[in-house]
Amino acid sequence: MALVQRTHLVRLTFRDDDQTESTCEVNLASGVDLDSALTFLAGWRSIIAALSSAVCVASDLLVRLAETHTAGAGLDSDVTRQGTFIFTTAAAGLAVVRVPSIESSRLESTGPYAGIRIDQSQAAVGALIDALTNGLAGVEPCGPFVSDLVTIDQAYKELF
Amino acid sequence: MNAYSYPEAPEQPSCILLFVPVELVPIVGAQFAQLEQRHRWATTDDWQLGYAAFVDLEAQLMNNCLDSLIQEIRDFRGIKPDFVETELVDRTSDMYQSLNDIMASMLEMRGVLVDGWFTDQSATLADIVRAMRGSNQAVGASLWADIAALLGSGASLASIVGFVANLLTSQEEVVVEGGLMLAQIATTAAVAAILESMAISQATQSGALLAIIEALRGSTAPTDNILEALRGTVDASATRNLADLLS
Repeated sequence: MALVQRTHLVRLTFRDDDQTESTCEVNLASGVDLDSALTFLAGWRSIIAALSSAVCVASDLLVRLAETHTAGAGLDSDVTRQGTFIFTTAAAGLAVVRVPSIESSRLESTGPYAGIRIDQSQAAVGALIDALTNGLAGVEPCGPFVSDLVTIDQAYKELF
Repeated sequence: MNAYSYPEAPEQPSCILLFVPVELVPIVGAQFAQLEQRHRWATTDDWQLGYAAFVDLEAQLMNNCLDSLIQEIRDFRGIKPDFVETELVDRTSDMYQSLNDIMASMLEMRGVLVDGWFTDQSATLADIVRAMRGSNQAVGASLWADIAALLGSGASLASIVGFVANLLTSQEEVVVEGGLMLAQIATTAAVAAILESMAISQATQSGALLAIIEALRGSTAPTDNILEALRGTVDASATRNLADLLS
C-alpha cells in the first residue's frame, strides 16, 4: 500500500437555467507544474465556455494522490455519519471541517449530548483541532472565505 | 433545485425559538449543512452570508440544550444550604433558592434593630451613614450647640471631656447614636481652646518679665541700671560688697 501521485484534474462546473450543474473534466500529467496547470485552466475555461450555453460557475484544479491498495473498511464505518468540527475564524465567523465516518468511540458517552458530541478530551481529536488551529507542517488552514481558523466552537456528529 | 438569494433582514431582527429533540440534532445539523454549498446560493455574496448563517445554526444545535439552560438557571438561584452535599443529578428544583427565598434574604440584610434610632425599623445604608455623621436628627445640632456654649464660657478640657463622656454613657438612646463622632469633634475643639488660652497666658507672662528686667537693668544695659547705681562702676568682690560696707 502506498500513496502515489495521480494526474492533475481540471474540472469546470457549468450551471443551466434550471440550476442543474454538470462538469467538464480533463487530466494533466502529474509532472506538470502548478503554475502551468493554472494557465492551462484559464485558457481551457474560455474554450469550453465558448461551446456551452450554460454558465461556468467554478473552475477547479485538483492535485491528486491515491492509495495503491486499501484495506477493508470497518464494519462500523458509514461515511454519512460525519464528525462536524465548527471553528471560529479570525473574521469573527465560523467555518466547518468534516470527518467522514467518525468513530463512535470518539463521541461523549454521558451528558445531554451523549452519542452526539465529539469528546474533545481525546488525544486524536485534540490532534485534529491543533492541526487546524495552529497549523501543520508550517501551513495554517483557513475557512472558505480565507479567514484563519482560531478556536474550536463545537464538534458533533451529523447524519447525511 | 433553486439557488437561494440571501433574504434581507428586517429592520428590527427577531428570532424563533425552536425546540429540537436532542436525538434529531445529527439529522437537523446535516440538513442545515446542505446550505453550506456554493451551488445552493445564487451569488458568492449570498453564499457567504448563507454559509455563516447556517453554520451558526449548526453550532447553536450544540449549545442551547434545555437541560443546560435549566442548570444555568439553577446555578443562578443557588443551592439551599441543606442540599449542598446532594449530588447534582439527584437535585430537584425545590432544593434551589426560589426568588422568594432570595428576597427574604435581602430583607434580612436591612437589619431590623431592637434599640437606637431604628428600633423596630429597617435600617438602610443611608440611615447608617447618617448615624455615623451624628447629624440625622435635630438632637445632633443641639448637642453641638451645647458643646459650643461650654467652649464659649471658657470651660476646662476636663469639663468638656466629662460632658462628652456623659453623652456616651447616657441612657437616652437618641444621644448615644452618633456620639462617637460628636465626642471627637468636641474633644478636638476643647484642646484647641485650651491651647489658645495657654498662648495668651504665656504672652502676658513674657511681658511682665521683660518689665522687671528692664526695671533692674534700665533700658540701656549694662551702664544705666539699678545694680550699677548700687555698686558703682567697679565690679563687686569678696571684700567689696554691700554687706561689708554696712558692717
